[in-house]
Amino acid sequence: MTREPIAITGVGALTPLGHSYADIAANLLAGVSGVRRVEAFDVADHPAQIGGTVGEAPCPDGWDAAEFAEFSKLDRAALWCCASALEDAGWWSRRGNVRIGLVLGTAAEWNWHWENDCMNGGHNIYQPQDHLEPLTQRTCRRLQLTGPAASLSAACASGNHAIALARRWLQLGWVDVCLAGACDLAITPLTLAGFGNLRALSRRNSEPEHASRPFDLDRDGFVIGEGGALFVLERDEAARKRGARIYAEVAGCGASSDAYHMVIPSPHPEPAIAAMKQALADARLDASDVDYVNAHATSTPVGDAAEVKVLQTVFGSHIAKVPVSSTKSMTGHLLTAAAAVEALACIIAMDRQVVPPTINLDNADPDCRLRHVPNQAESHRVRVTASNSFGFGGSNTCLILKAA
Amino acid sequence: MPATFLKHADNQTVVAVAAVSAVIERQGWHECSFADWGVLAAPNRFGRISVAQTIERLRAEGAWGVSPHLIPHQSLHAVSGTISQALKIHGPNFGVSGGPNAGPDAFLLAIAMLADGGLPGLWLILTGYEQEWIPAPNQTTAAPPCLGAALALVLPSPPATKNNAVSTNLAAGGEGPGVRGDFVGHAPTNPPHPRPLSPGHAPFRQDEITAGRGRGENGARLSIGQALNLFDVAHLPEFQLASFIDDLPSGAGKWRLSNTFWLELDAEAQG
Repeated sequence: MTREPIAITGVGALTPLGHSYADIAANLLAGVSGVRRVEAFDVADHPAQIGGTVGEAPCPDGWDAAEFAEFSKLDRAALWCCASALEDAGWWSRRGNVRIGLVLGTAAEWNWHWENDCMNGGHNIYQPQDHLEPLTQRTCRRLQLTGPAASLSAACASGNHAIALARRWLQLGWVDVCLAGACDLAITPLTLAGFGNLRALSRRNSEPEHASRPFDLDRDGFVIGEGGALFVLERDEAARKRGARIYAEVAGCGASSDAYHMVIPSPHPEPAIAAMKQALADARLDASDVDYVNAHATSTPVGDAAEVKVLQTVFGSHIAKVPVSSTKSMTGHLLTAAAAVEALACIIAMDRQVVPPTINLDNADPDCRLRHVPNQAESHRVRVTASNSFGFGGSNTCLILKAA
Repeated sequence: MPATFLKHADNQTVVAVAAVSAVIERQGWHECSFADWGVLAAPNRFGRISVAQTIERLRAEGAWGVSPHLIPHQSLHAVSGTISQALKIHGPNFGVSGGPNAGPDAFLLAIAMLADGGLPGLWLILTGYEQEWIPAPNQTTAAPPCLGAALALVLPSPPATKNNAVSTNLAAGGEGPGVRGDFVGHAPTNPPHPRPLSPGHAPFRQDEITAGRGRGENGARLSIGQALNLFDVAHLPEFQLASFIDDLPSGAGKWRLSNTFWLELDAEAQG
């Protein structure tokens, strides 16, 4: 296995802030909220009735629209993200010439299918022996990709794991190019009710755009979101040789487990600190090299405060200087897809040299003393970013991206 | 672990924990720490029964009928998260696939996880149903037995595996059209050891593959089969060539991954 640098050369995304890089960047840096009342199903008896919804995935260029419309919403989302990332990277028309792999973070592919099928009158959940092929295989078949494919879930940390593993597949020589990221359409009756009954979600139903309030004293839970982001990864040298646009280098990845509780973050910050330090060591960087932190910060009091302890320990005195924001304030919490979309936020910060804000941060929690970027984006030199993503099951991850 | 530890867990999580416990029991690793290790779990059709029941409750009772335990314990991360908690594993943990391709996906990701030698080892747990209760909403008779299966593998980091590969214990191959031919894997003689908690503990003697079979729902019965040793990671990219689907091993022998491909474990079921 080599340690050669791995570059991100393509982006495809479906988010509550838009479905193109330009739209997402514009909305993210303008502090626009993508949270609204859920309209896809009746939410009248749900404790939380809002979400960061994405609407319909566009049909990729050159695809038969009628055929695309026949696919499930989850399939369309994954296909859009993958196809548009390959197009963006310049691989779409030449994808048959190289081994393109796929590492996809997706937590509830099967549950989503069973629920969706049941709600539409199907009985597939009672007939598992007749099951359809996995999402990764369907996606690869439809895109005519010839490399290996796998799906994984570390809950909200999935996207970072997927990017880290795709990087390894490239360094092992298993693929020439690899799609990596995550896709999750979790705004369904079961998931909205499950998280709602867990009392994890904001109940600020009357003002959706103000409901996701990471680090704010008046936060009352997170807002569920949906969507996805896929990236094209390839060896840096090969990317430069073919003149590709390089968005960033995947410089470092770190992962750990709390081994404490399936839902509640550990009161002991050491495992999450270890994940951040591991990512920095992997990138051969010091904490003081980081120019922007995209915090996991979901807008729950326990989680936000726990992460602040981690950041304060890892960054030491530098914490007073490094801008920290939570883009979940705008997108909602995309669960399995959160880490991937937040990696995209980091890329945008490096591309535009502007740090996206934490909106709705009107009254910062005194237990969350950080160098916040409240409500308005801020021009800043951004060469290195750190993106934290922590998930149910005690997963902690950190992704370090470096400007090309 | 407290008695309530698995109270809300899925059947496959319970069988997975049982398989891991059996490995530890058999190897006498009670005093070993796996703190620096990782854990990957690849369940098959995970959470289906709970989702089916929950959909019925949602229809009958509305949103309040959905258990708050559904997402933490019936999502893909649940098996690996539970095992990391049980073994106090602070390395990475995540779930793989959740569907019929879980096993092959898990091997691909596990080998990549171990490739740089950053982890001393990895628990890889594959679970699924041998016989699965189909919870039709109009069912009036008692549910038939539901057989769960779990395969717990202890994977060493690759440098030791490659440097010391001498014997054969895992084979993969296929039959029928399009098969590229069989291959066999090699097992290490001197895999890395779990970190001892105290001097004089039982050493990590060998890698182990343990297959567990359990009667589901109430976990009334569990029998464990065992095979020793592991594989050579150099051969595993071969798996990429196949389109793997379907079931878990039935305790020993061949694990049919698809209509044409199988894994053969040098295993012998007991009980």
